[in-house]
This record gives sequence, C-alpha cells and structure tokens, in this order.
Amino acid sequence: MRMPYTTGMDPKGPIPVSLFFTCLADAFSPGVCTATVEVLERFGATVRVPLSQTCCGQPAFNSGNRKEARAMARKFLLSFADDGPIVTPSGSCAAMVKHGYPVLFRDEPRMLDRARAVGDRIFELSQFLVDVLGVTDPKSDFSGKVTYHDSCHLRRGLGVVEAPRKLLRAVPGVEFVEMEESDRCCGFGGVFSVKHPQISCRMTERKLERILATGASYVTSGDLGCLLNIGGLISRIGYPVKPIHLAEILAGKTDRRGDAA
Amino acid sequence: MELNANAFGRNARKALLDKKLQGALGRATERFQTHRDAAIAEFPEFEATRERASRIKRDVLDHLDTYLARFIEEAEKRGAIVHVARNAAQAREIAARIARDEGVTLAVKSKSMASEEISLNEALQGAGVTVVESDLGEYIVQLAGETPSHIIAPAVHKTREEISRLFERHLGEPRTDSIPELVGMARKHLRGKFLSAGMGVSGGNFLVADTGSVVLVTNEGNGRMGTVLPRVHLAVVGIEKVIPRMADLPTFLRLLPRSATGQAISSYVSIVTGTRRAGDPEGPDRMHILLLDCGRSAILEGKYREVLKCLRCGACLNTCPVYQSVGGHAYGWVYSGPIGAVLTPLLVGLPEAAALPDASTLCGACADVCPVKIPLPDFLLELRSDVREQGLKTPGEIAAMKGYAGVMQRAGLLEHDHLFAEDHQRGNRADAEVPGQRLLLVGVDLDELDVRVLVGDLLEHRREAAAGAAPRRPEIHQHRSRRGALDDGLHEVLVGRDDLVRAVCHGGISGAGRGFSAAGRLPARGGLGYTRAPIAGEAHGNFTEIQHGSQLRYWIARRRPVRRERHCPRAVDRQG
Repeated sequence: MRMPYTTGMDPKGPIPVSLFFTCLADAFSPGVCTATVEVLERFGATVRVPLSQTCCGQPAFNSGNRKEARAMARKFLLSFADDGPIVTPSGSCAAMVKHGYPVLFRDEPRMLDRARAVGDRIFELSQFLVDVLGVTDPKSDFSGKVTYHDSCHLRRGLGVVEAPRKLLRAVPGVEFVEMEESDRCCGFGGVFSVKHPQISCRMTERKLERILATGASYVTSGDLGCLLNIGGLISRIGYPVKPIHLAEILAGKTDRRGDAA
Repeated sequence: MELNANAFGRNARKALLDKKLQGALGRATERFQTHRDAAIAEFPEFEATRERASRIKRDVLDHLDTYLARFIEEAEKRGAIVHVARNAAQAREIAARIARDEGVTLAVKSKSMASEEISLNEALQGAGVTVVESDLGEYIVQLAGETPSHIIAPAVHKTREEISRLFERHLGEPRTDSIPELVGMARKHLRGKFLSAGMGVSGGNFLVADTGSVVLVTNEGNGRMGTVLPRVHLAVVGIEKVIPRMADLPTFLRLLPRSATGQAISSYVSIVTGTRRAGDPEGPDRMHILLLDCGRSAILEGKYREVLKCLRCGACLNTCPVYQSVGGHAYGWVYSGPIGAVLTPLLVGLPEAAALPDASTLCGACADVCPVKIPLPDFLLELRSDVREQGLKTPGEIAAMKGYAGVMQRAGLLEHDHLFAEDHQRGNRADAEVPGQRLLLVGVDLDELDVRVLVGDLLEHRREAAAGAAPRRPEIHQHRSRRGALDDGLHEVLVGRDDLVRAVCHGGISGAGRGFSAAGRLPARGGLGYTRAPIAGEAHGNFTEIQHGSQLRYWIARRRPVRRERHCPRAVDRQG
C-alpha cells in the first residue's frame, strides 16, 4: 500500500525514508538503529539519516518544561524538513512528534502546520512495515522464544497493537508467547523513574514476573526506554531472559551476535 | 480532610514498605479491575455509551448555570431546601446551621467523597452532632480514625484481621476471620443508629435537573435507609453532578456500576425527589440539598473543564499501576489515583499539590477506562507545565532541563554505522551543521590500548597541531566502561571542552569490521565513535575530521557476545 504522502514518487522505485534515530538508541543502543536500517533496506527503502538530529524533546515535554521541549521540537522539525516518511524504532518518540508537537505549538499557527505535517509523516517501525509497506514476512532468521511488551505510547499513543505481533509470528524461528498484562506499564515513564524510583521499580518487578512466567528467552518491545528499564532490573537480578528490541529480532541478529539464549 | 499532597513521594515510599497494605491493595484492585473488564467485555455498547455520556456531560458543563438553576427550581418545587456553598468553610457553616436548626444530635451518613472534601463530620461534630458512617468501609475507616483510601472502597487498605481487631476493641465483638460474620456485626450495631438518628447525610451521584431529584447509586442499602428513615435528609453534592433529564440517567447507570465494581447494575439505585408527600409510605419530612462549588466554577472557566465530567467510579484508580503500588493515602487528600492527581491541585490550588501531577508514568491506562473520556494524561502533562509556569519547580530540575536542551540543541548523532555512511558516500552532504563545525571521528582499538591513553594521545597531538586554538582544546573528562543494563560491551569516552561537555562516544568492541576508515586503516578489532566537536586541526593517525561539506566514511562496529560472568558479578554469585 502506498500512502498519500508518497504521491509524486516513482511507484516502482525505492522508498526514501528518513530514520529518526532517537537519543536513547544513539546513546545506549545504536545497534537498534543499524537493525532498523537493515530491515528497511530489505524491503526496498533507501534510508537517509539526518545527522543533526538529537532528541525529540519528550523528557522536557513530559516533565512540564515546554520551553525547552519547544526548542528541541524546532530542531527536530528542521532536521526532518524533507519530504517522505520518517521511521523510528520507538513508539514513544513517534507519539511525541505526532501528539506532543501540536500541543507545544498550539499558539503558533505556522509551526503548528509544520508540526502536523511532520506528525503525519512519522511512523514507528512495525507500523511502517505492516501498514505502509504491507510486509507480511519480515524474512528474519532470528530464533528463540520471545514475549512482547506493549509500550504504552506505542499501544495507546499510536494505537499500534497488532503490527509487531504479526511480524513476530511471521518469523519462522520465533516461538511467540504472550505475557499476561502485556499492556501494563513497565514503570519507566521517563522522568517518573527518576522522580519516583521506588514506585517505578515496584512496577518493573511486576512486569518482570509476568515476563518470567512465559518462560521466554527474550522480551521484546517497540520502545528502547522500556527495554532499558526492564533490562536494568534483569541485569541486577541476573535472570535468564534478555531484552532485545523488535528491530533486532526483525533484522535477525541472533546468529551474528552469537548470543546464547 | 487534612491536606498532605506535596508529600506524595514520602507517603508513597512508606506505602511501598507496608506489607499488609501491599497485599490488600493488590487483591482489591485486581478484583475490581478483573470484574470491570469482564463487565465491559459483555457490554458491546460501551464505546457508544461512553461517547454519549461524555457528550451529555460536556453539554452540562457548557451550560451549567442553566441546568443548575433548573435543578434548584425543580427541587424546591418538591419541598427540598437548596443551599449553595462557595467554599468549604461556608459549606461547613451551612451544614452546622442545618443540624442546629433541625435539632439533630445523631446523624447517619452514607458514603460521600464531597463531604470529605469539606470535612463535614468535623463540622457536624462541632455543632454537637454525633456522626456515624453507615457505609461498611467508611464505618471501618471511622472506627480506625483514618480516612478513605479509595473512592468507592474506602477501607480497601484494611485486612479482615485488622477489621476484626477494630470490632473487638470498639464494639466488643469476638474475633473472627469470617467476612459474613464481620458484616453481621456492623449491621447489628448500625441498625440501632439508623432508627434513632435525626438526620441522614448522603452524597449524590447525580442531580436530575428536570425533576429536582438526587440519585444515589449504592450497594449496601445504607444510602436508602439513611435517606428514608431519619426525619431530615441532607444531601451534599458537587454542582457538576447535574444531568439534564431523567431520560439521561440510564446512560450513566449503564456506565457507573460497570466501571466501578463490574456490576451491570448496583444493588440499589435510589432516586430521592423532594420531601415525603401525603400518601408516601416513607421519605424524609425535611430535605436539604447542599451544593458545593468549592473551586468547581473556577475549574469550569479554565482549560481543565472536562475533569468535571468525572462520575467518581474509581476505574482509573484500579487500573493505574502507580495507585496499585502505593494506594490512596499516598496522594494526601480526598481524591487519589489519576483523577486525584488532576483534581486535587485544581481544587486546593497547585502550590499545595504540585507533586501530584508527577505521580504518573503517563501510561494512559486511565484514559482507556474512563467512562466519560476525561483526557487524564493530557491534563497531567498540562498541570506539569503549569507547575513550571507558576515557578513551582525546583531550580535543580529547571537547570537540568536547560542544560539538557542546550546540549541536545548543539549536538548531533553520536554514532553512525556503515549503513548510514553509505548514504553519504553516495554523495550526500556531510551533516556538519554550520561551516567551521567539525566532526571528530575516533577509532579505538580497545583490546590493545587503554582507551584513555589512546584518546589522550590523540588529543595531545591535536593540541600540538592546533596550538593557535588552545581555548577550544577538547579534554577528556571521563572515561568508563559501561556494564550492566545492556551488556553490550560498549565502552564510553566522554569528550568535550572544559566548559561544554558535548557528547558521549561509543567504542563497540567487535570482530573485524566490514568498512574502512577515511584515515585508511581498518582496525582488526576496533570500534567507532565520534562526536561533533568544534575543534581545529588536521587528520592524524587513527582518527579523522570531517568538515562541512566533506564526505563521510565509517568504520563498522560489531558487538562481541555478552560475557555475563565478567560484567555481572552478582549474577555469578546467584548461580554459585
């Protein structure tokens, strides 16, 4: 399926995609973006990475510091001023651009138009693969037992529930198992985990219990924030389950990383 | 009720350590939530009904003056006396005057959050009235000298053992762990109170404008008994509870019990319309309706108007992972959970409750379940912004945010992999943002060299090469190996000027790369990292510098398998 914004593009040519790296991936797990690019290229996209991009401003926005958030948003809008879809391996950041920016610029009509236009162009990876490119088989050689955590902002902010599951189920080597309360917050909440670490940790413990109950070797999600949070607790306690981003599963990273499940 | 909302963090930590509270909370919220979800699943019209309810409520709020005037007119036509209180003090005064004028010495009260808002019990006690809570949960909380911890389940934080101990101490009943027996004890003691009370006090779930009725939705029957047995009925209700027509009531009755307890309908729905008429078998001789403004008209005028749609069902509490973790008392006032985090600051003033909007991960579960579609997460965000605007944030947080925004605005991506580099090799421009800005690419052979030595050496050279630009000399501030969370073998080097820490470089420890560096040497076991650093100098050895408009080429970093035993000593301890 070709979305309206693709008009004017060569229908048979490659799909030019801008990658929104996200600051978390940039700082903590750039491999997620390498994987994202691999997957996108596998399905005919050419990937452009605006190097001036940094953070979408969500930490500032979510903590009520809108002046700083607006500054970040302006920079984002400049970095991604070109046409074509913007794809990011983060539901949370995509939701910020889509829903947060219009709030930030509600009193600036010109910026508001730009924010909305960019908001219409941004997609989370699995959403883009399934809804835009119509991918049914991600052609991944990943193998292992995997459970999926719904990131709050991917599920509730963007309404993406089935796309990641469809993709996971389509990987032959993946044994997909649903956890209970998969849509329950893992306790990260960005600044929340800084302001209320004890509550955050209690929530993460409950999430981890549900993950372990599935017997999965991997827990995956569409948001690095959740995975860092869950992974932090896993590594402190040393449980035999590994957080891995959906993009890395779709890219089929297990073998090359040589990770033992 | 005493206000302690700004101590949310401290209250919450205390609650987390309270084992009994944790057990009770977990069981209760889970039960409510399961029942609610099941009831909604069997109610396919839920979406359409909540949309309709939301629309009706919005219409009410848009024309609240008209509907309220109509309600007062109709209620007074049917014999009720309507009072309006602007604030809590006035409400207490009115309630005390009613009690004195009616000669009341004993009052039975059914559950009412609005009455907690104005500390009604204290006011009545001040007027010489003994007030007995007749809702089982409220009764327990009253005996314990506590306050409700949940909108619809006030004693949700209590275990049956604690309750039995309370009944033993206050009512002289034998200890038991049978819930039916405990209920029987409360019923026995309360029955006498109902029969001798001069006044029944209730809240009100709805005020019906076209009939002047007060609607009570309850499960225990105490609400009905308290409004028909005593001579006087006092209903304390917020002005926002009005609905236009009796015909609108079914819409709300479909939503409220399902959202609250998962019942298709509550055990009792009492519609109290005026005083007892000739020929009525029952009903109060005198009916007072005390309408509370208490900050509501101010909310109505502002951007949070829709919060007044709230039905007080408690669904957002039960589904909120923060509420589930800490319970209602942590929120430090009458209303708890997501609705409390929004409503409390609006009712008591933001400075008194500035901590509450932060009591949420913004996961959005509350908005999913709200039967009248209040955008609670949006409101929490908006309130956090108000906290900043009103100068209520700590200087530390503001400084941190300013620093973050400043750094992020100047920075670019920290690391790029070959796939992006290819893009640039195909002829795209390099992304140095402005002429004169340079990118510093650092290849680090981590297996052979201490990263500090290598980068230090590198930067020494740079300084020599660019002696003229000493003020902009970069320095290494910090080096550390990352361990733990990601276990991905990343090594970090922080490179930046003294006064401007700019970026974090990564050196992924890897096997052979597939690309090549612009400097011409492919490290056998190398990583890559670069930072955007406005420094002068020429390419030297194992690094390169990219100027505005030049092309980029990259090394490829690949990750080495995790060696948990090396990075996570504690995990080894466990296995050992």
